[in-house]
Amino acid sequence: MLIPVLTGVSIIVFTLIRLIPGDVTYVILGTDPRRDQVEALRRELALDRPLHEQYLAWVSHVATGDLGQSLVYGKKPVLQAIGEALPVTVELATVSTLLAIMVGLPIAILSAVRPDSVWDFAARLVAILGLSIPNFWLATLLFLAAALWFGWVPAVQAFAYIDDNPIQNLQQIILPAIAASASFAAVVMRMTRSTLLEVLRQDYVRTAWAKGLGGRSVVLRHALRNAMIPVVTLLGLHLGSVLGGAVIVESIFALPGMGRLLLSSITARDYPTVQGVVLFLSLLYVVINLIVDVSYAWLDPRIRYS
Amino acid sequence: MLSTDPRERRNLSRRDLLRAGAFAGIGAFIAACNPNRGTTTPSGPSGGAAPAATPASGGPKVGGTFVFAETIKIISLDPHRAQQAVERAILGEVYNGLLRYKAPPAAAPNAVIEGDLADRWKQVDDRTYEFNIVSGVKFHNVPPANGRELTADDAKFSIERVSSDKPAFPFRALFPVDTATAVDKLTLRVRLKEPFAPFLGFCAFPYFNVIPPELAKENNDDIVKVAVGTGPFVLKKFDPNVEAILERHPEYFRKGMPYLDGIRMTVLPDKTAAFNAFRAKQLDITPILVPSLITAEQAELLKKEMPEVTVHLVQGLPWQSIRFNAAKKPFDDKRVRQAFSLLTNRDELIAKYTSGKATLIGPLPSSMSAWALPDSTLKAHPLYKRDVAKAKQLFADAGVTLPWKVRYLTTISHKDLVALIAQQWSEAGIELDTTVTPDTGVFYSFAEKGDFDILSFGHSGFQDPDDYFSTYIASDGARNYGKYSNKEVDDLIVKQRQALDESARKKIVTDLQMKLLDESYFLYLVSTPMHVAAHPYVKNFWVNPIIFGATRYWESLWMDK
Repeated sequence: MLIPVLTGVSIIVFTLIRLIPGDVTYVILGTDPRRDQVEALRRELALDRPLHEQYLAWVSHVATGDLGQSLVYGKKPVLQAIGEALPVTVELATVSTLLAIMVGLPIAILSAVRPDSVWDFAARLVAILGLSIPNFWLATLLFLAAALWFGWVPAVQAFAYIDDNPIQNLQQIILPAIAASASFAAVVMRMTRSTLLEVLRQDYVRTAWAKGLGGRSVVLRHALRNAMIPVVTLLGLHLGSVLGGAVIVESIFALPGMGRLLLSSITARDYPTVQGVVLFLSLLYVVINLIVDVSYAWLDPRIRYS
Repeated sequence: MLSTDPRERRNLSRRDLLRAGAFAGIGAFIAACNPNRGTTTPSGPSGGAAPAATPASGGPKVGGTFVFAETIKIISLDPHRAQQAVERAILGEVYNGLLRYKAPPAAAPNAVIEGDLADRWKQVDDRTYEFNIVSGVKFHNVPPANGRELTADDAKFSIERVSSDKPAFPFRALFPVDTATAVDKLTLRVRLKEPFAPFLGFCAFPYFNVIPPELAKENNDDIVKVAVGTGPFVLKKFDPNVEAILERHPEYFRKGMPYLDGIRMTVLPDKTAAFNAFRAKQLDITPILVPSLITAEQAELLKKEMPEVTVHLVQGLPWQSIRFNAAKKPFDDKRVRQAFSLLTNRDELIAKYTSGKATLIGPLPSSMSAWALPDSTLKAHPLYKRDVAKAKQLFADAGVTLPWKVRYLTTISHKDLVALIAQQWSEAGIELDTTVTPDTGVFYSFAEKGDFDILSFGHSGFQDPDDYFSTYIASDGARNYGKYSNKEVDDLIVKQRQALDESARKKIVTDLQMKLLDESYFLYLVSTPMHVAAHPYVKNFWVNPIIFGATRYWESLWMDK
């Protein structure tokens, strides 16, 4: 399935980016170019060739692992640009996902084992808020609250990678991770609560109670594992979405991640970078979904793949 | 103690609900009492015109890293190709030109030319200029220049490069150079293709910088990622999406300067984040470039919340206008264009679109005080006085039947302006079929094809009048998208460009502006007010209406902290 998916994605992204009016010559030459300058630059960048030739040339390079060079940013290799942006987004995705699970799961469990209690009510209210509040609003509010109420903001400077400066890295990632995790935490809460409530009514759980097992053992060891399957599915979708689309959070907190790279490339009509990044993200998405599918077998031994 | 045993269920009671509500209320009360919250205080330093940049008594302090942010990423560091103001913000610190404009308070911004790398210059004949270069100027001590001394050959190479006819070099129209000769080690002679009055002005404009030839040669003439010049700061680190870090040039030719140890420019894509970072004292100033500027409302908030901060208000060179597709009927009829001018209430645009902070403009922005028509002339002009009845009469005389739907092209940044204009014009039965493009690339692709009846856009011009006429109005102007053509106007444009006597040129420019007002190919609307705030420890800071030269004078910037 990987090859057909990537082929389809490559054709779609190649075509779509070229449908947007205006091309990269406006970005490089500005808005005052002579017609002959534009034509000469288009020849230099091979943009004057027929579309199918451009596509085949690009695909033949991709097959050898070369995603091309940026048309705009000093001919920077696309793979290098991805290599610089990906760790930032992966870290954002990982931390935000961990936060979402660390917050969402315990609250969901508490809510499920105490249905219709004050805790359940509060948890459901928090979940609704998490789903309703736009992440760009939350990101701005977090930034403002930290700055004005607590006198602290993450340093407005180049992103520090975790191996360079772990303390500054943590300072710079924590607020964006909270902003990016809020809605997923809410989804985890609701989904886990809902499935856990169903699982807790199953016969085998009743048997476990009847055997005299403690509450923790019944819920965490026996019930929760079966309730996690839909959550793992959502986890895969969430990771894919954060890896490719945390543009707003990255913009507000100036994180040089994949979302910002993609947005700036689209704005600049930097065709190779857009094509390369989208293709890479598609590959990543397929891999994540494969991992999610395999994890079902681990969670539920009844599921086996042939 | 909570139990995980589902057998111990509790339903929510009214008492529980009231208890939860009480806790929530107490929490909100505590948050509201947070002593760190900003309080509103009346008055404080007001905006108005940019205050004179005078050093405090005791002289400038040396040291510190100046931090600012812009929302636009940098694409190119090639000083002879870069066209974005944000790129000029870096290049203005790394490079020098032969000339520049005197900074306030010595002169009004961009009004008087002074030497930069050239300490003397003269006009030999109507097409030839000679520049004497300052002795002992050193390039930055980084490869490939490695701190060597600047010579006339470097200036020769640079002026030939900036006026290059190669496809990627866009400024040849500003520098119509025929030949450039290094007469001796420190003397450059430039012969132009024709008499060209704006030449010295364009030399003083930030677009012309002197580079070491080896920089271009060793990088295959592709210097978008490197910058080595003679400027007050050395480029230490550059990441186009992230930041640029500059450090003091220890052998800068203006002794004693720069005062700062360094400058850091961060790319913050979100304007609100940049504004909040300033409030959190992470930035020393708010953004200085369009479109990153703070709004009038944000400026007012700062005056209330942080009265110690200085909020500058300057009428920038960027300007807002409307133009017609003169290649399409009935917009080729002057009466139709004049009718639209009579329908436009510019005072309302100033009040509502810019919160009262902008000024009227004519064919030249009001900040070009040496050349622009005075405000009194504009206000008295019959086409600047709204008259709906007269507009309808002009439409009728031109054979236009009302109501009338017209195709209007603009960008997303102007949608508020267009909404106001649509409301004003609707009184005469004009309905707009508006296309709002998401970015300038899309906008210009429509504009180039002539796919519009009327369009509006903001422009950032140069400080010489020629750019406004030759580029936008002349029949062969590169940005004359409406294909307007008028022989009398074309003749006046050529005449002002070749009038080397300044007072004679000013007369021609005044006549040309009055003619353009009457022709109404452009409806000139309002200026762009630039609000920039600086913390009180920032000294010698002024806002340059030419955004391309925003940082060019920061060699004399210093911080008292």
